[in-house]
Amino acid sequence: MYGLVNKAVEEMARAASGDEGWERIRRRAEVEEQAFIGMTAYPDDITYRLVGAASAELGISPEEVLVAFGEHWVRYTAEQGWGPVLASAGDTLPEFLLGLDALHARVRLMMPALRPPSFRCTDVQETSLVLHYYSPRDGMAPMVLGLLRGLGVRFGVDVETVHAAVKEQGADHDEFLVTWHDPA
Amino acid sequence: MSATAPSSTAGFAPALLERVFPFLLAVDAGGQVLSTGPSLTKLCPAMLAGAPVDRHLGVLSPPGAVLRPGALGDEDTSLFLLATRPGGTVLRGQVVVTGEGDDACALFLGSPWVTSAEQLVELGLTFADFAVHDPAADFLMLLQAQSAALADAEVLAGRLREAMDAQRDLARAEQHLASELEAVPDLLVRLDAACRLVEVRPAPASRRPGTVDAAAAGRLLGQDACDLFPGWAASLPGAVAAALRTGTTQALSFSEETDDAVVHYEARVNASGDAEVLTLVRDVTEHRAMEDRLVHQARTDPLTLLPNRALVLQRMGAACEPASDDQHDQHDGGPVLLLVDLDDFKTVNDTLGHPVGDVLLRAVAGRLLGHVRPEDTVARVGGDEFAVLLRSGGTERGVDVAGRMLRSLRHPFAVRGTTMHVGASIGVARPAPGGDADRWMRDADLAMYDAKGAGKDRCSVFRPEQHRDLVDRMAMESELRSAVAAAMEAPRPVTGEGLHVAYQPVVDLASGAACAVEALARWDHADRGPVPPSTFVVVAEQAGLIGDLGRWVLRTACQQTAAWAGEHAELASLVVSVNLSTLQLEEEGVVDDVRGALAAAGLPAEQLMLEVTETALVDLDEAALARLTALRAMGVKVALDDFGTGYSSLSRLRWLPVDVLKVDRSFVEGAADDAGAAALVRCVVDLAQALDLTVVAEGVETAEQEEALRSMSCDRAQGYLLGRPAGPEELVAALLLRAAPTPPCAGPGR
Repeated sequence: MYGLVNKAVEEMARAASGDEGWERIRRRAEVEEQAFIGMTAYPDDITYRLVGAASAELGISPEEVLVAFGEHWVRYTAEQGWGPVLASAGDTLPEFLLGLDALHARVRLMMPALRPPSFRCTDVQETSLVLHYYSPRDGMAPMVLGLLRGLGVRFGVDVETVHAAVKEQGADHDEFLVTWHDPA
Repeated sequence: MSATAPSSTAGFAPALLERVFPFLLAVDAGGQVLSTGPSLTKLCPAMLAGAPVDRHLGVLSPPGAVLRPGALGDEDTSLFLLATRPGGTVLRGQVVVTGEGDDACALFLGSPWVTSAEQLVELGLTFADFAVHDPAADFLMLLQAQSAALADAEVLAGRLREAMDAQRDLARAEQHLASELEAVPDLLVRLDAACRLVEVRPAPASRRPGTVDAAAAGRLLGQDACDLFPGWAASLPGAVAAALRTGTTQALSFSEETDDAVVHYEARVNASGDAEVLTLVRDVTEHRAMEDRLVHQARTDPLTLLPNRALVLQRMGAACEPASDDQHDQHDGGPVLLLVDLDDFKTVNDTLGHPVGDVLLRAVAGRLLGHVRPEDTVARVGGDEFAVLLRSGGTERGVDVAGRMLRSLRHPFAVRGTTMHVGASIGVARPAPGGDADRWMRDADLAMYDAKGAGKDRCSVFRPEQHRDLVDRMAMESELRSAVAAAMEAPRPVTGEGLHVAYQPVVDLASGAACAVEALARWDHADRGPVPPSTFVVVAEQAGLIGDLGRWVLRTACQQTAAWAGEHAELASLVVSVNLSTLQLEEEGVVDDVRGALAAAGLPAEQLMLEVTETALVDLDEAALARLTALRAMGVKVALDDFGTGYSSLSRLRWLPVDVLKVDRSFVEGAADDAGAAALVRCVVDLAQALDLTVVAEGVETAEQEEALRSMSCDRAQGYLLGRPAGPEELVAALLLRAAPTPPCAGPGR
């Protein structure tokens, strides 16, 4: 994964357990890099080890780490200068989700090693849709839950998600039933 | 929602064209807007169909181009830049013309030129408003990626600078450390947790053979440091472990024996990281030797090289320990202290000089050492004072050793060709149960003073009452000091209370008249009762109060005598006798004191007689004798008191500045019934008369004595028979009774 992802993991870890906590995570994950370059591709294994080490350091499951990271990712990318790009990708949650593959496609033009997941929307209603998630990597579905939560915050809506089909349980791909409504 | 699309668009369906070019603009031959794509409509909602295009868009490039089919020539391959009015948003694209004549239509195919996502947002557009094939969104993504990369580069550059600064600071610190270590005169060794040598830096100034040098240092790496110094083999592993465990400095001391000396080392072990220690090893042999020399000097008398007071007190303290008492007392009498004070040593220094005195002290020290055992201590504790600590033997041995020392010291000393004698007074004391060295020394000191008081050149064993006597004396000294101060402030002394003066008449034996009185100091203590003069006068002399006491008695006596003379004509010529001590005569101001007392009382000098004991007069120096002579020159009389008890030679008696001889009571006592005593008294009377001196017999208590004295032609007498000492009010009646009808014997001689 690109360094931008690992940097986001680092920032999330520092926020949760401080600089010393991040160092412990880094040492536990046996990651030698003192700093990640955002536009450089790193082996996926680094990210996996960091997630595992963060899980051990923070005392939460790796899935919980991924959910937290998914939500953090939306905020992090906006704060790292990609906010206007994200803003250009849609004004509403469904618009954003519908344009997500196109956004990833454009990103791949400058990040050749990028292997992004694919998001397709069906059954789009006024306040719901079905999000189909395809990923070349296993075990990353919890991150989608976090992403949806983070996008809800970004677009100012309350999002409820049901993981309707789980690939790890034999489904062809992960499906999420996403509903949203204005906050009470 | 877009405006109406042209009906003819070169075969493309208008909806398809708009989907592919969402910023499509169609202009007819008249320059009016035919239609706009949905995104252009979103960007310029005011640009409706039928509106003049010039009103909403200006052509920036090509220069001079007009957005009208008929006005466009070969610009269909040119890059057109249009600007919205108002707003100035630039659109870039291509213009193609379809149709001919009035049906001609100019089509603008392009999109807004945006250079940032923020600009996109400001325009109210999103990526979805652009055609998928339009690279504008990709351009924006690329710009953002480059910006992110630049940001990363800046962060990394900053971290690199920090790392380089840290590296530079570390290098500087290491350089400083290396410089400082170079200045450290120690052997430095770095050890691992198992005490193996990791690094060895020899001491720069190593001067001892067999110590580590640079060549040896290299060979020692990896070896067990315990082999480096066998002396620390037992303690080094524990020190290393403790340093690593606690992070605190561990200190070691050890010694190594070389062929010709013992070398003493001190080592400091400090943790250096988690698994190594840095150890500094310093040769402290010379330092130890210097310390030992200083300690020795601090405990040694420089003159005699004997132990000094500090050392002997330390040994006495050890001897006072309960364990030592329990062990020694039962079997050998226990330790005992002799305090040896040389008698009259001051005279040696004063007459022969301190260099001779120093030689004598060393000689005395040598003789004292000859009477003790190796385990005993002879120390010099004062100018002419020695302490001898006998480790065993108790009081019995102490007295025996003291006796032998005294006999030894009685043998003359030959110093620089001069033979001299010096004696000593020795106090012997055992340590008191539960007492300490200071108390022990004090007890021996009291015993020594007892020996001196008993006549010197002897020893005295401490008795507890000596201390009680000392405490009592000190208390009496304080009380006497207060009494003297009170007396000097009181207008007139009061009999029976504090200090006061009593008077005893002196009677002319021929006429029976009282011609003089002797003034006697008395002290009536509130708690002690009457304190004998023999006691408090001694205390006054020892406490330095004799001067004040004497001046007070003198002034009081002169005033009283003058008062009597003024009140009673019969006593107009009465003489008052006042005792004068040696210490008073040694004061330069004694002549002025007498003159002042006479003047204050208005008493003629001839009516004052000063009594000085024979013993004191014999020892007076030239200056004191000169003062006595000066007093006589004033008209004051001088009496030689207690004559017969001193050792004055008869030839000297002739030249002494005296007017009266007072025969001691011890001779008068047997004057009536002892032929020998009577003969002595007669001799004294004859002698005095031959020298034209007046004789006064003291202690006359019987009529027989009085008669015997009268028959010997003794001039005057004094004693209980003739009148007891009494206060002025009580005495004056007796004086008047005995007053002579004519002015009596006031002068010297007959």
